Amino acid sequence: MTVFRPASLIFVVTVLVGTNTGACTGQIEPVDSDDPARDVPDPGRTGGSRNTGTITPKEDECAPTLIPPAGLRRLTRRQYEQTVDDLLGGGAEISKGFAPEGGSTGFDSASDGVLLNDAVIEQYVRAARTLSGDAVKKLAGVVPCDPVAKGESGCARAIVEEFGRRAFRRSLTNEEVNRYTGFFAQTRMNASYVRSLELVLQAFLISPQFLYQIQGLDQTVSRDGWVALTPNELATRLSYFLWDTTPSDALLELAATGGLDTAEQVKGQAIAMLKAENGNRLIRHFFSEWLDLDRLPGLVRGTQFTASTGNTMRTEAETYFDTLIRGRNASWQELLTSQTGFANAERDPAHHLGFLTLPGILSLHAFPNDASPIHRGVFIREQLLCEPHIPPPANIDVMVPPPDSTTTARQQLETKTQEVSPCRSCHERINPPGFAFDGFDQLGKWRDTDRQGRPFDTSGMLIGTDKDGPFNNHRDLIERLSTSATASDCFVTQWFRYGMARLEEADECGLRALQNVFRESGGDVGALVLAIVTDVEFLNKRVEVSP
Amino acid sequence: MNPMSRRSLLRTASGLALPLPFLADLRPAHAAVAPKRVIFMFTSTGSVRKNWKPATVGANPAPSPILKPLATADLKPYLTALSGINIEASGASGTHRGGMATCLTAQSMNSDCSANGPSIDVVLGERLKGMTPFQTLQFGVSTRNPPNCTGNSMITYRPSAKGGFEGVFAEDNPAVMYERLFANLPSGGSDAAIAKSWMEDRSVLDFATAEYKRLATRLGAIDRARLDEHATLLRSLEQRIGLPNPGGAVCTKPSLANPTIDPQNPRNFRAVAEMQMDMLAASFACDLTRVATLQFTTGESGLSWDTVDASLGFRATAGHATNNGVDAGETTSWWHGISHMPVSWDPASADPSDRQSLDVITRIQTWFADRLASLALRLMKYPDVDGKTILDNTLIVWTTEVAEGNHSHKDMPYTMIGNLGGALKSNVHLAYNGRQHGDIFATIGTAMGLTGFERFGRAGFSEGVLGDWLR
Repeated sequence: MTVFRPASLIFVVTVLVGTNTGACTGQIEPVDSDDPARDVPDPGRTGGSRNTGTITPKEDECAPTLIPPAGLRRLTRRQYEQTVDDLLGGGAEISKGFAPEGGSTGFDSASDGVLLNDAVIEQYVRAARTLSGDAVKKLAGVVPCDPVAKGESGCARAIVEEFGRRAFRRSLTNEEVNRYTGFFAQTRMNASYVRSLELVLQAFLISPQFLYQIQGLDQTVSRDGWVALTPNELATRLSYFLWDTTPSDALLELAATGGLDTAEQVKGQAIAMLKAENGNRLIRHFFSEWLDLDRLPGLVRGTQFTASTGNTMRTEAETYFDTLIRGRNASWQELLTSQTGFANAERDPAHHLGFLTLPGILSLHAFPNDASPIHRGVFIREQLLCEPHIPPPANIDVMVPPPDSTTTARQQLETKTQEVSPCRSCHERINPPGFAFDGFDQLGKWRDTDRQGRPFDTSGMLIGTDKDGPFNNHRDLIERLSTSATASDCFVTQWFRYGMARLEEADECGLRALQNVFRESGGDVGALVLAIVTDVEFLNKRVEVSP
Repeated sequence: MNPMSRRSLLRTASGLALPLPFLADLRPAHAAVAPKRVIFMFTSTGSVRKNWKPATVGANPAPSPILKPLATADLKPYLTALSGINIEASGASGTHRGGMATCLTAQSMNSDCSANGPSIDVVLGERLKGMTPFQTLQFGVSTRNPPNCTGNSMITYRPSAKGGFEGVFAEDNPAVMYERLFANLPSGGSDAAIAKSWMEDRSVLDFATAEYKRLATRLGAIDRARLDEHATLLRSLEQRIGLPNPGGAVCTKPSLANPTIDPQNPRNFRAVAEMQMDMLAASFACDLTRVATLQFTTGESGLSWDTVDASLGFRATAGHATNNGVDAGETTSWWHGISHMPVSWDPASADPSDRQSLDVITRIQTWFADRLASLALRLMKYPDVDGKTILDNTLIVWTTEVAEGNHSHKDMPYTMIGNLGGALKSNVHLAYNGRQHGDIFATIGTAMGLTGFERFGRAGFSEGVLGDWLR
């Protein structure tokens, strides 16, 4: 059993099953190709560092058995939509009615995020009926074949082979071709040629090979539970990660001809895909899901705010990230501080800097008629610093009196949350970063005073990070966050959750390696994406070890 | 409307070489004993206790303002109010999300705001497995939010093939529900054409099921479990084709009033609700399921009532600024905003703005009581196999995720319509002193004649059956 272990991926320490010794040092060792514990390298892979029966996590203490088995990934709604569009040239809107999804990671990609029940099964069957019905009406455009010239069964075979290849993202085995053509023949006894083809397409569209990213089929599992992805499987994973759609013919061809066999090749391909037009999907989808941008059009923010306001804000945010990351190769620090990426010239550079001051972000975490420092503070603690969500203690009165002529909103909140002991331990972390943004109203617009004409007290103390200390306003706070390893590590954590489709809790070693790469790269988001697609956990599938 | 008796539907099918619907054998030949059925109706954002709670305790209670639509001559015999019951098992009492996770599960809430156990509808459905095509059905009205802490969207939880429990979305598109429930019922075309189309649908599902099973055996245990689950669900879908095969009741295929309605447009809120209730009632009459939920909005509803129907007049002017974002003097129809306006929750408050906002919340709740009444009357129109009506053998439980807008989880406003064929008392107000809501579900399971319902939900939070509710 071999596990794909690319040359450039050198975070490798051989750890035998069952060992779990030493400290997690962050030390990285090169692959030792003479390790006798390793299996014979797969002759089909020429990367030079294919591996090993014992895969090798990145840090000493990190026994590979700690990494949880990777759950089967089903296409997300977004992926289904894009896939169907690429496969059939339309019909994408059909998944708009699919049941909502979202898993423990906060991202749709989470392997535990797709729910399975009667209604979900039926949504796929309904979609397949509609899509196959439409497809046979324009079959010549999907898979051209003339049944008069080639014979019905000849055409059925051609369609099964060609449509099947695209639906399964690989060539069908002979056995599979026989099963699907057999199904055609059986159906054809009672149904017309076209209707029979329609039913065959339906069968493809509800098949496991279409709806799931199947990996590790028939694989002998290495003794510590790893399976190398086949070139096709890797092409599929890469395509769904970067473009949220089925791999293109060119990518499948590349994979089939040894073009994804080394980490350098995978990296080169990822760079090309990120540069291509569809490369904006990764940026758009990651930031939309991380920052909850899809919620913008539905916000209640007073009469000035409509769905179109929300859509504009969403587009502005997506453009901000895409322009900076793909257009200018901006770093994490720049994302937090840039003044140049704002789409709207009205944004005052004296106040607006970085994505935390995007109107969309400020509006999302606000009341309908005012800023909400608690919501903004919680957002920063949970999303930017990766602190866990901790609800207020049970049965506590969470109501806060509104501000009045003698007491500011901040004073009311502080009285409520910081003088009461069960509240204080969380709120001394939450409140200060929230108050820092009080100068922005519920629409993200700058204001100098509150409604009673009082200036805002935006000062506070940042705690719980490596850059703790006082700040006077949101600019100071952003400055601290932009140089904070806590924040930068959390950003990598979010990417890890998105890319690996799991929470990092069970095994943080892989995450820490990525965090190191990111720091050493100076916060280069592109480099982080490339480190993810060349990570062992991306290139291989972790499976449970049978006893 | 196109009522079909069991006999006529069987006659339709009798000339066809169809495999016997799989349920046919499971049903008693003479269903003189009617099945017991339950609906859990959820509305968001709580009530106004003092306008909800009947003024008198015991039999034949005096109707409260909110329960007035249910205190009619037709429905009062079926009306039950349970007061003094808390929902505290979530571990996040005092929050909307805690209430969502626990309101039907009586379980604790996980950190991703899901519930740590199955909901009562799923548990009952599982116990009635094989009796009907669907174990449970989830109808929604404006429920399409993501399944996370901000989405507050789900109240039904089922065991997951991945381990633990996962939420089930309550479908809020009537066209989808119609297709799920009634598309298979013949409504035209020759018997032969219908039979052929069913056969074809079955053959695709059969083929796909085999693909899932075949592939599952070639994968590791975890992936295998998920594909097997997928195969099982596909198989049960295949078995539902050609159903309903009504169990002796009059099965009416409802017509869908407006199949192209946009369910996300709040103006269609009422119309969607009506269609969903039509289908829910018909699905009981056709014995498609015996357990269902009807969920109006997600928790902490963001609905603005003026976008639903400005003529309802559900708007209030804040007497003072609220802590959730309504300015002093601002008039709004934003439901959650209104729910935070009252300082005192006493309808006799000296503050006129309190009285106004409590009046609006009361009228919103009365509006929902009216929906509940119309659902009950729909069930009453369908005769049951025992010669009574479907309503006679049904219990509708009305629940919410907070007692009042101040987020209290104590003394919840539990309204019931029905008595499960006389297994429960009705036309009664039972006042408790701090029992937990898992006890309600224990009582329902017991009243349905099922064993193992001594308690329900999180350990330590259910004392047992509410004995004085049982008849």
